[in-house]
Amino acid sequence: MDLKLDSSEKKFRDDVRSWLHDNVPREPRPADSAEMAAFDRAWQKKQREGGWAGINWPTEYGGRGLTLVQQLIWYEEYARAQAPHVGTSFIGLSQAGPTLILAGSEAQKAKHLPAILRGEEVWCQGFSEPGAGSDLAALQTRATISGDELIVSGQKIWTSYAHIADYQELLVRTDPASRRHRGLSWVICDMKTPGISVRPILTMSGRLHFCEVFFDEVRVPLSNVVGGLNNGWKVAMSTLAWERGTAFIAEQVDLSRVVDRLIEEARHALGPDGRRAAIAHEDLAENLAAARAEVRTLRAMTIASVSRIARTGIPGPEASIIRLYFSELYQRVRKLALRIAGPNAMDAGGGSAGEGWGWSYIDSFRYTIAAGTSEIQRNIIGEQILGLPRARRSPN
Amino acid sequence: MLSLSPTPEQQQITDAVRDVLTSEWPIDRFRQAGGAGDAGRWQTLPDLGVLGMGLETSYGGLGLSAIEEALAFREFGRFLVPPRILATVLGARVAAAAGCAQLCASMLAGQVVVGILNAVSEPSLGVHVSGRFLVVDGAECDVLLAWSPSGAALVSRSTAQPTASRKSMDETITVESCELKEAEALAWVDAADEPVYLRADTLLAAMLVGIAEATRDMAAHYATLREAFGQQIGEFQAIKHRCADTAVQAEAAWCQTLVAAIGLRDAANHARDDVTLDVAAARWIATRAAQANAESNIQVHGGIGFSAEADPHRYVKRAVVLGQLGVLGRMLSADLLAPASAN
Repeated sequence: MDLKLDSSEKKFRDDVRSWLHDNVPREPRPADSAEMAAFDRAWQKKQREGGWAGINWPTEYGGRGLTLVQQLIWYEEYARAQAPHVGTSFIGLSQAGPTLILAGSEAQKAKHLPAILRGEEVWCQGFSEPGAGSDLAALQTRATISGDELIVSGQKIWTSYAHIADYQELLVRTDPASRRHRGLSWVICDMKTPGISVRPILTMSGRLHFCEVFFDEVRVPLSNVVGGLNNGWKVAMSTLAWERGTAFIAEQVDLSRVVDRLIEEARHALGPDGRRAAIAHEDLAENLAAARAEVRTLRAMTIASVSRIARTGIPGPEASIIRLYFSELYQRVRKLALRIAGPNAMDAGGGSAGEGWGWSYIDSFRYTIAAGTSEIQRNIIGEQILGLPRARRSPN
Repeated sequence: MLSLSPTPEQQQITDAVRDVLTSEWPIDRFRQAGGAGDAGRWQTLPDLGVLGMGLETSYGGLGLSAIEEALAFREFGRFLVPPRILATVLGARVAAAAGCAQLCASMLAGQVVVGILNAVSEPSLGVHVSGRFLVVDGAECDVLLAWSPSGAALVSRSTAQPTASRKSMDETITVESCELKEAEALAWVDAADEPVYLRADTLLAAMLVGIAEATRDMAAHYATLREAFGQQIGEFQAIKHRCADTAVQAEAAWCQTLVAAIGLRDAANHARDDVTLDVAAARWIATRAAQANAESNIQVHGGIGFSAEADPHRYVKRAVVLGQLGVLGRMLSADLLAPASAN
């Protein structure tokens, strides 16, 4: 067990730090617009050209072929440099990429992986449906085989950046007679294919990034199936394992900076009595201390998880533990920030948090819903880690 | 390389300690003897070599680090080994640091057992010791250990002369009152030379993790045995999700405890502030994890959980006792609220 970096890791960290220092965009990331997507693509392209994209991806597809530990170091330095949120590059880098590396064909990998790293392909996720959220296996979007094509009809929802994305990781029912998780396929879908229409949905935090996606007899080449026809559940579970296990490392690292900032603010901001600093109020101080202990712990859990994945190759059900801890801690911190901000919390645009503590509290609700609700994570932990019985479900 | 996975050697230590505790310190020992009899088992620990695990070999120790100690203390917590294990391991370290080689050797050999002097008002520790204390798990001990962020002192029990025996919440250990006025210490070590309080917090965190894990496993096991409404109760989300939370708590507490132990081992190479912060975080998280999991375990057990005949009550009592050790004057929240380091 060790927390010290060895000499090559240290050199890597120093190189990352100096590159980020010189190259992180100074201008703020635009919100919800064509400029935002262009900004994300350009920043991703710059990282690729600097040799910093796909740290732990194979070299033959444009990655660096380094370890997950080095990927973690990258994220820590990334947060330290206050580099822009990964934004629209998220699904490609954190889900579609790792899934293709694991289950994709040679042609699929060669086509998409380098393009994702260059910022030329933005991806979105097509898993949830109006009738299939937590109960993902209830999904109904159909894909019937016609020659060497699939014809897709149905509807996906809560798809972030569908209005911007070039490709979608699409989970569809390819065996019409199948039930539940059997007979599904994980398919690469070009978002420019005729028959796809997208309707953005306004979120409670005022953003327009998640969407409904409608499929009306959309033709997708059969060769776009990843990991075998009717084997989509298994492939999707590996996608979700990456989402729960490593996709949020950057945000986990960033959360500790948020807590640092909150504690510093609490030293100056007036507390609830309107006279003393917030931190002079014992219950606020106690909650801030707890938050500091917890973000410290989150980092320890991240290191433990990275060491475990380095051994096993893919995140296991333990990923749900860290996901649950992170997402609930994230919300507690945002709620605590509201109390520190006091009446200023009403100003959603103000404060040193950029968007403001009020806004980030409102936006924090998504954390215990996306990537599997907290309830689903607890089911996974209970059943797959502790060995508790699965709930009996009515057959359908 | 950055890693929190145990090395094969570390795994062997865990297994060896667990094997001895499983055969010599089984939890059902309390039911057989009503809690008495642990004194008769003490010698198994010095025989295993665990008392001097983290001490340099020149003092008769094994020369291992705080990490291996933490691995062993996690097992001590799991098997409800009495808190004197902590006082004796730390006591040997204090004796060694103060140059009392003979005293150190008799502790490592099992001849001298150390109880805990736990302050109830801010103590004055040094070559002379003053203050009001509770003597915890100090019955039949020859020597008592007090520690605080200023340092650590060993005092002979005959000097301390506990005045009143208190009714102990944890029936398996004793609690007595005592007041010391300028009592002469057998040995004293300044925290600047040897931060005993940081090691105490780390090893207590590890013991608390043991409790958090034991109660996690006990609750999950019971949830698969017990049936109600025609199904195993673990099938109900109300139970399943409570159990899932115990797994999260235990994992969190263990990861942070390891980070604290690694920091302690590498203290010479770390900014001291970082070690203090990590130790404080570990103690904070583990204290809450142990108590929360022990409480959940009782709730999952239902009626039998409230009975003295089943074991769950023992863990919640021990979690409370360990949670209180060495806390007074240890401003964990101040450590945690210190400005963030530049890194």
